[in-house]
Amino acid sequence: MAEPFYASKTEYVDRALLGFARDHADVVELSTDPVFVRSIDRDPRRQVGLLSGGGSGHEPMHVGLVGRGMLDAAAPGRVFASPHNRQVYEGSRAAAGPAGVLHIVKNYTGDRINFGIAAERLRHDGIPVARVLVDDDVATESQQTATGRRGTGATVLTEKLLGAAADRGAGLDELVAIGETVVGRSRSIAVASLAQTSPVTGRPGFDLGPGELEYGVGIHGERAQHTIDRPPLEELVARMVDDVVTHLPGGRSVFLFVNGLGGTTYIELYNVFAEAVDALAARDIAVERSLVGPYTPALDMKGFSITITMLEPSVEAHPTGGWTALFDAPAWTAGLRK
Amino acid sequence: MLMKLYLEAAEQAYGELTRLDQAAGDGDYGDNLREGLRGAVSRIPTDADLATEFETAATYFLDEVGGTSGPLLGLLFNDVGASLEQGGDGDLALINGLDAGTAAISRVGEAKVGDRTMLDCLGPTLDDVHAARPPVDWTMVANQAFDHARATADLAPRMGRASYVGQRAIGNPDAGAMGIALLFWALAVDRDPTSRDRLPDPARPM
Repeated sequence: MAEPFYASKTEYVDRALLGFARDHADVVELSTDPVFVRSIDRDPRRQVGLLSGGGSGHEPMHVGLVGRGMLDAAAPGRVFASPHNRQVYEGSRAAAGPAGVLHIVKNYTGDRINFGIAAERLRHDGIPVARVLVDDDVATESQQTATGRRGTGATVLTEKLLGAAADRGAGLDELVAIGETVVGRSRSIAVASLAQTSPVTGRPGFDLGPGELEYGVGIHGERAQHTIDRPPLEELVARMVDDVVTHLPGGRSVFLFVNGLGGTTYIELYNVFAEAVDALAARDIAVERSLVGPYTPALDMKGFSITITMLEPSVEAHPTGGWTALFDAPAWTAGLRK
Repeated sequence: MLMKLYLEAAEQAYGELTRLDQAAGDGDYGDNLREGLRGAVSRIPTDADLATEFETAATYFLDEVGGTSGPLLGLLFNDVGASLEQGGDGDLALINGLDAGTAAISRVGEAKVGDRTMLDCLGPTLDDVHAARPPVDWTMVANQAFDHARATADLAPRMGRASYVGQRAIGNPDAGAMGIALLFWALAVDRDPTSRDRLPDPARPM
């Protein structure tokens, strides 16, 4: 039993947002009715505003990715629950540039519907709006449902690259094309050895025996389809890298993102990262750029995810420098600074 | 006033809507529809035209009503309000608005006719309207809407609230579809108060 440190049983997300906005008053401002966070600064070349959002519990995603070089606004819902369409709608009106607003949406039914309703309202107001849907989790690839793959770690990379492209003055159509290509060439998988603590009960969201791992776990405390006996780390990471690479187009250079799920230390994450670099090298794949840290956690779950983005030689050969140049472009947010 | 009539129908059907939604989902549909209509009616000025009624209801349902069905109804009202605003409150503008709103719900909900949602009342009922010769007989249309809503009892859910319970939803009509039949009931009674006698009782819509 590990009771969370919340000021109130019901208002803890709002309280955290208040604290967050106070801490980062040089980067963001908080709207409270409806609730959204917006950047106080943006590149003057940016024509299209970027807005994302989703359930809380994945911080710094998304409010911590608001700021110059990344998102113009974010709409946070309750823990693991979609924001209301009014948050997305009003946040989008605040975030929109002269050429409209782009929604970056993780693939969950509630998020799709609420962002969709907001998009209809924005069109009614004459504001151009488009969507990039992130669906990278290979653990949900084979399920026989209409819902498709979940959106997880690739969201952070997508937001970074699209932020940099927007700062070059890219229009809505161009951003959608880049975003869809990045998502199409990014896949992830996650494992956990301990579930997150439920904010309601203070108990683990699910039980795992010692020596067991949840393989293919989601970021909302939903269990995986498989519980496995824990292999040595080298073997585990090699298996995860294989599972991800199998679902990607062929190629020789990648972005590698090792993400902590909330209860995992940097020492652990860098152990995972070193193994993943070796596992990719053994497959003759070079890591061009990397990101390591808890950027898309599931509250305090003990576990990690691996996201790989396969670069495309023709894009990288472009005079503007391809996705690596977008990755390297400056960003100044609470959670990610370059 | 149309929304007052819709609220009257939703109040009478509240128990039945709740029972239907409990059989297939979380049981909050009757509450959301009733609370949404109460809020909308309290904000509509007494001398409002039909366009203002729909526009006021749209804002309330989109901004204040929880769940997904409430805001989706808000989208429908939004398109009807905009169409009436541009084209006057004749049948053509009303039908164009209902068509546009139905398309918006389908786009946003990523559902189509046959998925056992509110679209299974809206879509076929509007098909009936388009197939009939003008002028529109709204009493006949409302009766057809109830028939289409009842027919969702035989549909397996693919999208929407009932998709989580799968085949267990079969046997009861979809609450969202029945909520749309009540809107057509209100449209019919608004245009011809005597049509009440020729329509199903909202308290016993089955």
